[in-house]
This record gives sequence, structure tokens and C-alpha cells, in this order.
Amino acid sequence: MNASFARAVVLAWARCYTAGLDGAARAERLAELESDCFEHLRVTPGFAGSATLLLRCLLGVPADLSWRLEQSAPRGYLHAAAVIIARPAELLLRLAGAALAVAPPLLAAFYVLVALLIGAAALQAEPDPPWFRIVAPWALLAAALVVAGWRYGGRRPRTGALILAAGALPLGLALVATVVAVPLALAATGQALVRVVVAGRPRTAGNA
Amino acid sequence: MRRKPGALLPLELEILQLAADCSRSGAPEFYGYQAAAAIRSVGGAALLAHGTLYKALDRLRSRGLLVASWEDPAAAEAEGRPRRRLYRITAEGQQALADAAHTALPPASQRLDAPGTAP
Repeated sequence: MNASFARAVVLAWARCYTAGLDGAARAERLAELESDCFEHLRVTPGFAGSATLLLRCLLGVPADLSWRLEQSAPRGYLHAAAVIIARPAELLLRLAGAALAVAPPLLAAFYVLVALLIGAAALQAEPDPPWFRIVAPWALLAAALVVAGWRYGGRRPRTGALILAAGALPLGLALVATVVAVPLALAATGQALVRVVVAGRPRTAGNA
Repeated sequence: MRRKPGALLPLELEILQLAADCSRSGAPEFYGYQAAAAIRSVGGAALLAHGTLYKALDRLRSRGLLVASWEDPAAAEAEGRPRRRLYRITAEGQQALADAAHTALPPASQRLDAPGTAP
């Protein structure tokens, strides 16, 4: 841990809890902390200085939040809390959106893998239970439906979602023991449903 | 426990006392880190947390017990450091300090000799 890292953490936290404040109050708090960090690390250089700087930041978190809520009192505590959590929430939503976007190809790849593994096992010995014979072709068909629904959903979201769900869900539920199949199948279907919802939104006058 | 309106917390009294000491010493202004170091030297514990210190300074300023101003950028630039926010006690602050029944603070000389508090 070095001094610039500790300073960056202090200032990043300050940017987080001052988000949404008016420009002057925010700039003043940041400038004051910038000066404090500089003086602290000048008086106590090295690892000890960085560690104690981070400790001062950490121990001050409750007071920082309390100060931030006081600053927002006229607009309400809920507004302040919403502003403070908005950035992490936005990041989580973006991550969730990215996860949804890659769910269909991941699911298709997983089904192809299942088809290969079970197909290879079924070729070498008498499968037990016997219905395992159909799992490999079923998995290939499901993978094809997932890919087709995913691609087709770009043009016809509802039809694409139906095709994708028909491929994803039955096999996903049949492979519940693999743990991975059900969440992937649900995420892929969720992605298709999001497309349907987005496509169903009223269009602006210019696009109508 | 909710404090009474207008009452000063022990930390706020410490800061006001430091500001009064500075005022008497002829260098009436102090900055945030200087306050953290001086109060640490009295208590002997770790430096004040950022949130605790700056919240207290902000409260004293908004109550008119301290006034704050930014240092001249040229002075900071000449020393190669960021600008300091300088605080100074007001007449109201002196009065609040005098009114407070708080006599357990050490003498001014101990505060102003605190390490790392060069103006």
C-alpha cells in the first residue's frame, strides 16, 4: 500500500458521499480533504502514514454519512440515501444487464457441452437410465433453439422469446441437478423477455 | 441520545479552545490537519477521523462560531502543496467558549507545540 493509493481511496470515498451536493459544497469538501491528505502524508510518510490515513477515513464514515444527510435535510433523507446508493446500484444494474446479454450464448454453449459429454458416455456403455439416449440430441436441439430465438429476437422479440424459452426451459429444468442449467435458462429467458418489454414501449412521435 | 439545541460537543469545545489558543498566540488561523494533530497531542490517541473532524468544523462554521476562508493560491503554490482552508474563531465563538463550563482542557502551550502543526 502506498501513499497515492491511500489518498485515492480517501478522495474516492469523498466523491461518493458528496455526490448530488451542490457544486461549491462538494468542491470545498474535496479540496479540504486533498489538503488534509497532503499534510498527513508529509508529516507521516511511508506505510504508517498510508495506513493511518485510511484508518482516519474508515473511522469517519459514520460521521461522513451523517453530515451528508444533514446537508440534504431540506430535500429529505430519502433523497440523500438514494443519491448515495445510486452509483453502486447503477453499476450493479449494468453488470446484471451485461450478464443477461451473454446468458443465451452461454446457455447454448452449456447445452452443447452436455450433449457432447452425455453422447460420449452413451456411445461407450448402455446408458442408465435409458432415457439418457435422448438427452444428447435434445441438448443439441435446445442449443439450436436458444441460438435461433436469441438471433431472431432482434427482429421479432415475441417470437424469438417463445423459441428461446422452448429451447431453454424444459431441458434446463431436466438438468436441475447440474445447478448451472436452471439459472442460465432463466437468465436467457429473462433476456428475451426484456427485449419483448423494450419493443412494446410506446415509440416517440418521430419514430411512429 | 439527542443533544440539546445549541449545546456544544466535547470535540467542538476542543476545537474552539484550539482556535482561541491560536488567536491568542498571534497566528489566529488554523487548518483541518493542524486541528487533528493538536487534538491528538492532547488526547494521546490516534488522529481524528476525517468525517468527525470536518463535520465538527462545518457545524461550528454554520453556527457562526468559526469563520473559514481559503488560503491564497500563490502561497500554497510557492510551497508546492494544496490550498488550506483556514479557520478563525469569531466573537460568538469566544463567547460560547467562555459560557461553556468546560475547564478540563490542558494549557494552550501544549496544543501549539503539537508535532506536524507548522503553519
